[in-house]
Amino acid sequence: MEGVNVRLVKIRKQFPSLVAVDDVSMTVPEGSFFSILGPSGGGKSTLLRIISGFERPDSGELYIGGKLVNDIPPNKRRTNLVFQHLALFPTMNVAQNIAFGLKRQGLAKADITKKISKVLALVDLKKFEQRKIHMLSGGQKQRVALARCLVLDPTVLLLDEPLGALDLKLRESMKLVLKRLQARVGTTFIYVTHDQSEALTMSNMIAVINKGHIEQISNPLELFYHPKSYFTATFIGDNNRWDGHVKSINKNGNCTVQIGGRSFEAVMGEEMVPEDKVSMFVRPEMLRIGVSAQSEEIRGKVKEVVFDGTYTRVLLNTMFGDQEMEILVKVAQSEDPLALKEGDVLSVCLKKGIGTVFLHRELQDAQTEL
Amino acid sequence: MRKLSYKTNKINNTNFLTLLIPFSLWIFLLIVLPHIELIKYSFSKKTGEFTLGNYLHFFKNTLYLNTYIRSAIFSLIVTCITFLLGFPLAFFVTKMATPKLRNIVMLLIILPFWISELIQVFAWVVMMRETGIISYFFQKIGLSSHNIELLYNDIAIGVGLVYTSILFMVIPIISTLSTLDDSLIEAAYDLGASFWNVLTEVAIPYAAPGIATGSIMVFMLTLGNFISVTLLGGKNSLWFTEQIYNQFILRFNWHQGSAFGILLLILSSLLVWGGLKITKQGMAEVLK
Amino acid sequence: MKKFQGASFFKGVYYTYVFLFLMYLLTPLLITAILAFNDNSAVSFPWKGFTFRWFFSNTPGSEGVFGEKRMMDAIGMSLKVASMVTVLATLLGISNAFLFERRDFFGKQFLYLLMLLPLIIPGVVLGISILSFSHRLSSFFNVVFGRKAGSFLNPGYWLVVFGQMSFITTLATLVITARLRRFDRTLEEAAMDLGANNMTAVILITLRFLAPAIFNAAVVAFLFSFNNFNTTYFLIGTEPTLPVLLYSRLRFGITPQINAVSVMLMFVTGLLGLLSVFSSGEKKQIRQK
Repeated sequence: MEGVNVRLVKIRKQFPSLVAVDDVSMTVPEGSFFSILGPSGGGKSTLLRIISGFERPDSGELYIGGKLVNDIPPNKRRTNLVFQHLALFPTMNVAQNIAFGLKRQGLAKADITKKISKVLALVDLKKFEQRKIHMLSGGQKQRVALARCLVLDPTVLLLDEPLGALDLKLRESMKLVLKRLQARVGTTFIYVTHDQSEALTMSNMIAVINKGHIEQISNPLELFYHPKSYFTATFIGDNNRWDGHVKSINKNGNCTVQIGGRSFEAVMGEEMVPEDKVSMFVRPEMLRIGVSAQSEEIRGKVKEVVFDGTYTRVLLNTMFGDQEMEILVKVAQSEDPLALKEGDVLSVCLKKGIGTVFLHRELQDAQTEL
Repeated sequence: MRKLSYKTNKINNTNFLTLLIPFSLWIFLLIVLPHIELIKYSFSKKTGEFTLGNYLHFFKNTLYLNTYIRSAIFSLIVTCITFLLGFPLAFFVTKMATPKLRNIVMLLIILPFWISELIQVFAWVVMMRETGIISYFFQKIGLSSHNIELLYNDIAIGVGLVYTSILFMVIPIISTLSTLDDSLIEAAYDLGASFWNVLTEVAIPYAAPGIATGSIMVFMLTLGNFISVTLLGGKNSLWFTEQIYNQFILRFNWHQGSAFGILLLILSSLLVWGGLKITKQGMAEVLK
Repeated sequence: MKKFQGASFFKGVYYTYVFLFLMYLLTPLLITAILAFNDNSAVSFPWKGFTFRWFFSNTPGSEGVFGEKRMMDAIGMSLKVASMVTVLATLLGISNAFLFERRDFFGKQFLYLLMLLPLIIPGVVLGISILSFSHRLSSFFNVVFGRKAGSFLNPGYWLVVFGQMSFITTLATLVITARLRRFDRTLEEAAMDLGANNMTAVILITLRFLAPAIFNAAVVAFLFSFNNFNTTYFLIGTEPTLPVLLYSRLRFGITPQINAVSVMLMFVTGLLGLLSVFSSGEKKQIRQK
């Protein structure tokens, strides 16, 4: 297959107490920053370990660079893994850590030294060769771990939630560092995380995984605006979830949903028929304060206003007919803070056909909206 | 544990002195002064005058000098052997065994550790002597037609010394290796290492403190050994501690014996100090 | 977890190695143990029937362990010495632990190193140094206080106790110090906040916390004392400890009686050793991570 680095075909891995990976198939485009996003225990780490070779799948095939690699041990695969806690060798300094893989390949000393200084420049750690590991800061350790893998020019670079131990500011800057690095080097990155902001910031493509199943594989914008499953709709970002039932299927392919006393036109996320119990998802960012044409108007009373540093979250109470509803609206900050307080009456508008509808489900975990 | 900046938990001066007295008594009366006395003995004649004769006698007499050197070299060899045999076991217990297997194996190696050296050596005498177990089995399976004496040679001494001291090598290494995170080993594989690479470039350097501790202990135990060597080696044992015993117990020449004791002490201390220097440890950390 | 990827062949070899190693460790002991019940006066195979006589027989010339007075006396002597050493060394260990953990003072590093010295001095040297010193002291006492005043320092019970204490105290101190170091001092502060004075806080709270280590130190002290030979040998007088007695007999050959008492010792010290492992309050290397 052209332009595909990693291909999984019906990979399955079962442990005594649970099925970690349940017949997963996916392809990772060459040169992309590909994230596997999912809640803890969802199977993403197992998937990563299967790709790197530390776990063997019970069934299915794994192709890396076009080759079937099921039986190839991790030290012979052209993949490299940045471990969650980095796993830098404490008895060696920076240069020796980076040289480790190169020595296995039998490179000459002079070549090794050259490559080390090149890769250190790449991760912005020039002249760090002699530093001891314990004298590095968190961010510096990250970059050494990256360098150690990148210097080997792998077909795929795997990253296992590497930013977890960093504080907020550092994490934010590392996200950009990683994104730019990947773009510059061109190596396929497969990045595993439970943190959606990491995935959304850095990735070209995201695979959302839950309980061993792939829910959706799309680019970040697609994922945000057009979730393809109930889980994705609730897992990614905040979402208003309005429960109701299908009133009719329209000629343009959308449906009309009845929620309380009101009806809305919306996109169907999956197959459905009239009378089905459904949930309609509307992102708080898509509700605008004020009125406009081509939009449904919703009037309500402000219940709560919370400023969270980036957005103002406004909780609105309203009635759909005789059904009471709570609506979350997110307003980005501008020059002046929003002049809203509890009890104010407010109009928000919702563009026609912008919500997405899925069949109603009960989710076990607290992976729900709001 | 945070440092306390106020004095409530520091012991006051009277308590401090109360604690200092038994400590000082112990150190001075049982260690410092006796060794000073020993040094004095080593430099005096039976008449009490000062002399270097005891030491000169050691250097001039080839038997004593050779025994001294032989004991040192033999001990180094034993230390190396215990490392070569013991490290794979330590690695197995910490990194390759399942938790259940690990507990079983640990239990099995802790037991002989507490059994006294005398008993351990005795068991080997039972096995290796002319009318012993190994001889019996060799005859049973036809490898030999009569009793064979396996004792009273250097191999027997070596086997006994390795046996009685190997756990002192294995246990410190287990202690250090158990803190080696599995992800370091996986990272090494991920970067292309073979099992041998993992051992030599990751595990052994990481375990260096434990290896140092173990080596120092094994060396000291072996150099200062008495029971194993004399029981397994008999008259041919040529071990330096035996010379000390001879001078004190058989010849009542405490002066010569003291000189030998001091020489043994110097050798032992030198090699401990050297070992610490090579691996760049401080003594306090090693002996924890 | 299979962290190492290698052929199963390699794995097989490794497991065999471990198995052989364990055999090497345990077989001599097992065989000796079995032979103690073998009714064969040449301590060896073939098996001639099961018997307890090497332990209990009273026939003169072929007494069992419990039947011979000299043997029992030696056991008694070992027990007496070990008990005294255990008590003294443990008490000193507690005192030393507090001394080093609770206060910084001038020369502390130096004194700490001094304390560790006995562990790297060969037991033989410890023995002869104390022998020499006690000889000098004994003569001194005799001169100053009259004949026989210094006789308690002659080779015998007390000298053995002192000689063993020289290094066993260090062991006890290390065991207890390790535990004391991990004590959360804020517990003592809490006790004082609730009205206890310093001493009471220490006794009620800290010593309680130290109890496993104190017990462990005592077991270690007892075992090291009971099994000690190199130092004891120079300091013993006419009444030998068990190791000394056994050694002198072993020089002339093996008897089934010696085998029997070895097996008893094996059993007792093995059990005590297990006790030490399970009684220590620390997460020793035994416990899995």
